[in-house]
Amino acid sequence: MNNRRSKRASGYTFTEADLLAISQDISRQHSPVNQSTPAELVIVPVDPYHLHASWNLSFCVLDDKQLQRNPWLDGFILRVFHLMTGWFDVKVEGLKNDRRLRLPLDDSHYSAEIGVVDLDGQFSCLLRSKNIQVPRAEPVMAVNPLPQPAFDIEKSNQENLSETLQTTVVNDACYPKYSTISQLQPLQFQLPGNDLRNCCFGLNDNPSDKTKSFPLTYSGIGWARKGE
Amino acid sequence: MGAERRITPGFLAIVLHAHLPYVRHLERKGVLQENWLFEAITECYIPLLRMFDGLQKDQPSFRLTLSLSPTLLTLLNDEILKRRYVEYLQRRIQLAQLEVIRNRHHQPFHRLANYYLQFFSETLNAYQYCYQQNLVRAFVRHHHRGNLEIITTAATHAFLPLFSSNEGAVRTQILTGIETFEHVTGIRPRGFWLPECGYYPGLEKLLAEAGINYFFTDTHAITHADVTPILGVNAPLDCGNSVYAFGRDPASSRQVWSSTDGYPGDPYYREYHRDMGFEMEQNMLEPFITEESQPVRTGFKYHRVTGMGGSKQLYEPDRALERATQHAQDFVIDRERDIERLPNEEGDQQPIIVAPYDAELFGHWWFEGPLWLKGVIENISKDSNTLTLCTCSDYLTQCNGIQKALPSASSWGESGYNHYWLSEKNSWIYPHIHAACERMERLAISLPAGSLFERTANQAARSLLLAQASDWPFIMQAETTIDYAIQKIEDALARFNYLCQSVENLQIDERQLSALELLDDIFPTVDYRHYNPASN
Repeated sequence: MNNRRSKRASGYTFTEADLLAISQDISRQHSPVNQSTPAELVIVPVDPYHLHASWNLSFCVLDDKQLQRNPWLDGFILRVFHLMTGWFDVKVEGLKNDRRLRLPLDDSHYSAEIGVVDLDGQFSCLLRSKNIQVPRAEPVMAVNPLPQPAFDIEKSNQENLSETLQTTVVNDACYPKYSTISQLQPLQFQLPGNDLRNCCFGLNDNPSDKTKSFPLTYSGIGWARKGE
Repeated sequence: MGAERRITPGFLAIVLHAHLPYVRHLERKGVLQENWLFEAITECYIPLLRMFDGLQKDQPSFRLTLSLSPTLLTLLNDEILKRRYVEYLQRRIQLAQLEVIRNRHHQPFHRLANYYLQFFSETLNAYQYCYQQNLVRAFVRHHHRGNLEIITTAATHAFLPLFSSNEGAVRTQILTGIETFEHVTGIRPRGFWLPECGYYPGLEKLLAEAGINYFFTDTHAITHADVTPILGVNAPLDCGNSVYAFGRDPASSRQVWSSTDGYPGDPYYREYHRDMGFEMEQNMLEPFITEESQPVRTGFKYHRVTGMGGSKQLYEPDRALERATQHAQDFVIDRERDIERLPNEEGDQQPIIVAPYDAELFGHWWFEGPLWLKGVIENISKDSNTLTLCTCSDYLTQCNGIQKALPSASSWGESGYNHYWLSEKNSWIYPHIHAACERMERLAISLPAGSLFERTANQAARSLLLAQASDWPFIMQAETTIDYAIQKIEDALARFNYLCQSVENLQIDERQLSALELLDDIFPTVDYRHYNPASN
């Protein structure tokens, strides 16, 4: 048996009331809500076609050129990179906020930057995230090892891209709307060779086909009916 | 494996995962959430133990896996909670005595009131005299007898995929979980229950570092692996580093979990949601229930599922037992059929069906669950020529040539990934927790020398671990006891912030520190150094 025990020595005695007072005092004075958090951009995979981004720009310093865009009013650009193919931009708001984003391709690595677009149309990165990987949505098929494009590949590339980007809210998740971002000019999703068949850029509208039922709720012991 | 071994075409691994969040309130008596523990002991853990004890007498050979979370182990071993649990049972017995009198002119209710009087009395007797208030020891005894393989999980059941950006956080959850388990049980676990079956590629490396041999995933982690799994979910995968992933069998899950097809929805089983605590005048119940004056579950449930409507018929324990027996037979027949339908593959590997469930389903949510489980074990042990009960360790010892492939990221939650623990209802917690993880890492790297600083850093690590529990975002998403969940996270983070600030300012108030050590008296072997990348 492992008998290693962290050192603790206490000659103090406490009543329930003492402990309650100490607990309440610490919770009041050191509440996480009142604490400053470091400037950072964190992205986390949600499922094969979504990631969650949260950022805190409170401590970022913008230079004059960046400030000319008046980012505090116009918001920021969240640039999401698919590490094999390209990137897309999403307009976001708030120095400290979060947002769920829809992704074009499963089984892929992504990273993100948040920043502003200056008067020259140049993107200035304020914060950069770590890389993440979203899972694959379908089993690997021996005959087709590439990720599956989720939309109809018979359509033209432009149609596919446009259709994908105009799907703004699906399953409670936002995807960049073409028109919104185009006002800022640099909406780009750069695909090598611009060939969907090669790069398998795609969008699955219904990744929740396997949605599982939760008919019972967490109303007591930590239990809820798990998916079937 | 057990004493009598038949050679059968396939294996069945039943895995029960027992977990409760850390719901101990030294600062206040009568906190409602401590009842979660008391209800689970009464309706689940003691019934399971008594079932195992009974099987031990009649059927010396059975094999199950039981995962006991570090938080649950701590709660079960806590002297204050043991005392409060006995008081809880004594109040239930008093209430049952009053119910017997109150229902003396209503024969069916009177019979059920007597049933509950006997149930609570026997439970108290078992707790005090059979198990001497030490349920952990009773489970460990079955481990050493060869009936159970006991394993564990992450320290506070953190949903690990959401902490993957901070390796120190994941490592500390895994190592502290294992060390606490070993400290309490004396057993070094071979298997590891990933909280909510949450897996991401790379996690297997941290498990290997911790000496873990296997873990469990949901079905699609295996079926969506980076190489097509030859036996599908009916065989584990070697993650490439001799850590093995076992996938959940979907049919076994559906028959038990499904709201429409699952056994627990049978009309003759006891109805969970109709509790006397929600139907009687509170002033009648108050002395027996809690110091908080709000409706709570009493454990007195007089009705059966009956059907979908609101009108419920009276519970008949004998009929329910019959149904549990039938359902156990049905389950075994179906699993045998599943094995027989599998194509005969050449090689050493026999198929395995892995059936993992939350332990609290058995007895608490599904009152007849332990009876069903007993029936399944008996049917397989005595009568099956197709199935052998095993644990995953047994299987790995016996089978060679396991396919190498990396499972896909997944969980067993709604829609199969991370959504349930990262949604618009709970996502606000993560920036705070991630910031705390980074602050903890800085603290671990640059902690000043001295035992008081070490104590403070270790207590900060405890607070941070408690803030990471998956239970709180789960509750927020399920919209049940949201205020309590928020309070638990905010308290844990506030304590963490206070402790970090104390170190950073080089001003430690030992009295305050001692109070926090009493309030969060968990993880006796916690080591803040796990957060230091240089020390791993």
